[in-house]
Amino acid sequence: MCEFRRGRRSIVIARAAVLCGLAGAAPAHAQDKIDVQVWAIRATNANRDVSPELKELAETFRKSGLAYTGYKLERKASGSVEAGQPYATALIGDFSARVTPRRDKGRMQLDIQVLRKERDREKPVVKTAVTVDPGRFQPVGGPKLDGGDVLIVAVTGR
Amino acid sequence: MTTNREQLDRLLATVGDGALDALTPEQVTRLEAHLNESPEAASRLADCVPPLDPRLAAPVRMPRRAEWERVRSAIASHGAARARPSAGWVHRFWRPLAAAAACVLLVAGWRTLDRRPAAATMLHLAQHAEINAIEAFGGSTALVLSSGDDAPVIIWVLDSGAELGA
Repeated sequence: MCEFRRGRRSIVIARAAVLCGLAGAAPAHAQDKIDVQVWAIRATNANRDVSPELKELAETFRKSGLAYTGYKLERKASGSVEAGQPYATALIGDFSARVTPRRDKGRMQLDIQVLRKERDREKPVVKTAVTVDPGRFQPVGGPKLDGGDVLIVAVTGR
Repeated sequence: MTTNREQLDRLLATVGDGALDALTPEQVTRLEAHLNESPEAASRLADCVPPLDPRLAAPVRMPRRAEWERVRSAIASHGAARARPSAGWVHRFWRPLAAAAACVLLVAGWRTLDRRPAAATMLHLAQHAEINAIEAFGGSTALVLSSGDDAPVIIWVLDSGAELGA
């Protein structure tokens, strides 16, 4: 009888510890944090190198009529922000991005701004609002980089 | 032929000798009734002293001083051991404490992992993107490119005077 009571006590205390931990975890979800990823890609015709992660993007761009031969993943940035709050990150050269994510009926609404630093001021290049499936990337490209290359920004949230 | 009185006297003597177990239940009943009716008989029995058990009659040696000291020190050391409640407390509760600590570590580790942003290893384009708004600046033009109805959509900014692609 004494052994049975000790075992039950262990189970009760362990169960209480788990419930306390889960209760602590609950507020984090209640704040609705969204994980944002921003990939900065250099599209070029100077080579035919394609980063392994970008094979699908390269094929899609080719089918869309964008005649670049090389795609290099230059920078990956990720962060966790509350829904409706901006996530800002540097891209390539003078370019930066600002992404504001929101949830929309199971999908991800992303407000994407690409900015360029000119004389210590950040000026918008393009602003767009898209709705995508969580974890799927939306590409925004076109701003000119050095050497005739072009910047592509791929953004996702989940 | 013994009289009733002689029988009762014999029973009294038997009880007086300390041999109560030798009486039958009927004899005990008769003797009790007689003692209740006869104060003289009851007083005779009250004056009787049963003989001492031979085992109790044997002389007992008193403990020597060294034996007393050994007993006292044994009692004192046992009491000191029982006065350390923290060690005993930990010994009693180590199993449930260890279980609780393991659960707390498990939950803490799960929360840490859960908070790290999920870093994709491959870039998979959105298949059913909805473009809600586009605005280009600095004289540029924003285009929406796609290779088909179900194909991913590309948002492209074209500088004024520039051509699409290279």
